[in-house]
Amino acid sequence: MAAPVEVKIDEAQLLDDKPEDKEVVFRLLSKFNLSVGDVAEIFATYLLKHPANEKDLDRLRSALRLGATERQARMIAAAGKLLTSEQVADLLGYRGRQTANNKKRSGELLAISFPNRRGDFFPSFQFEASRVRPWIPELLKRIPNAWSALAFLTAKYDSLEGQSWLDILRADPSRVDELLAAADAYVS
Amino acid sequence: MSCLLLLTLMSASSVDAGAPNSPGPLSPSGIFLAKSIDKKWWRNAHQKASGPLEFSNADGRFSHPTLPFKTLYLGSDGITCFWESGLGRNLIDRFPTDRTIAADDLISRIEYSVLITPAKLRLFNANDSAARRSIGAKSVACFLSSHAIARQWAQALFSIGIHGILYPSARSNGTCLALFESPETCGALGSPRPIRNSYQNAELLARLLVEGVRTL
Repeated sequence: MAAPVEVKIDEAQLLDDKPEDKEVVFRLLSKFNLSVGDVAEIFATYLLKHPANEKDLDRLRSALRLGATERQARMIAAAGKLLTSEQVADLLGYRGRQTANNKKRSGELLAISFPNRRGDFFPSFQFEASRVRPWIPELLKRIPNAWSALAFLTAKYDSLEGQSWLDILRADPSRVDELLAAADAYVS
Repeated sequence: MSCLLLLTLMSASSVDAGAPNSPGPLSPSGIFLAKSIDKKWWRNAHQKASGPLEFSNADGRFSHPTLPFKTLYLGSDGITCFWESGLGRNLIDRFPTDRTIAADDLISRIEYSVLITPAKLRLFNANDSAARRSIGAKSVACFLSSHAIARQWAQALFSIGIHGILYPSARSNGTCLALFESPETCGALGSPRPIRNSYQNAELLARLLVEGVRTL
């Protein structure tokens, strides 16, 4: 009687190659527009095993920029109409559009720009008739980056019962002091 | 009979053991002080801040313009410090899909490490149930929920010579240390050492990604 043949089958093993694993995860994050919940679930679990380190900085920064265009579009929709520097010059009685650009540079006007569009764009909410609302330069003193300031103004907050600061000020302009206190806290 | 027992149990369970209470008169003796604490702490400060280790009376958990002392908040790690900073608190308050900031917001935040010499400090650990019982604080919520009540406890502890409070971060998994301004606390603080800006902290960027933050 022949001796029984011993068959050895290797169990499938999960590849545990840290650099390779990280590359795959970052590629997945870049490829798919995952929801916040998806990312949180996958990535939080992954980070327990492979904490991020300095070598991951560039890829993390790229991943953080994903979806930024959609967010910018939502912020602009919440902000309302955008004016060109020529329109601002007409509205405020400036001699030319250069004055509007100078006011932007000195932090007196809120203006945003886009990499694929020429010129600056001025959210119309900062104007009241033919003047600049006084809280605009005060806000920009605290949060000078225009996109940051716009994100701060248009974000919806739990503490404001789901409203943004822009919603609050549109409904009740007297709450400017609260807005500026929140901006002070933002940079504290 | 069994209905009576059930009613008795229900009424006993309606007492909220986690509800915060206000402080009564405290005596310096008999308080359980924190016995050993870490020497290395962290601070996340905006680059325009006048000083990374400045005591402040700004409106906060254990600080307010009406209190007779200023407070400095430190964290057990860089991640905790970020979520407890003004930027971190603002992001947590936003709807997840509105957590959009500029990279500049992170670049402008500087992470410092600071060594403290705790030997001469009398610190209260709010996370220690025996310590809480020693001052009559019925739950950790005395220090973590309502700022108004937390400040009452801070003032009561300060008035009997306590130099600071250790407490769990409400926004992170780390520990916070609130130091009350005094010659002892100032003497215990080493020089702050700048480590990096927050945009250079890979672990933090990974956490921000997880929580839906995006940068422009």
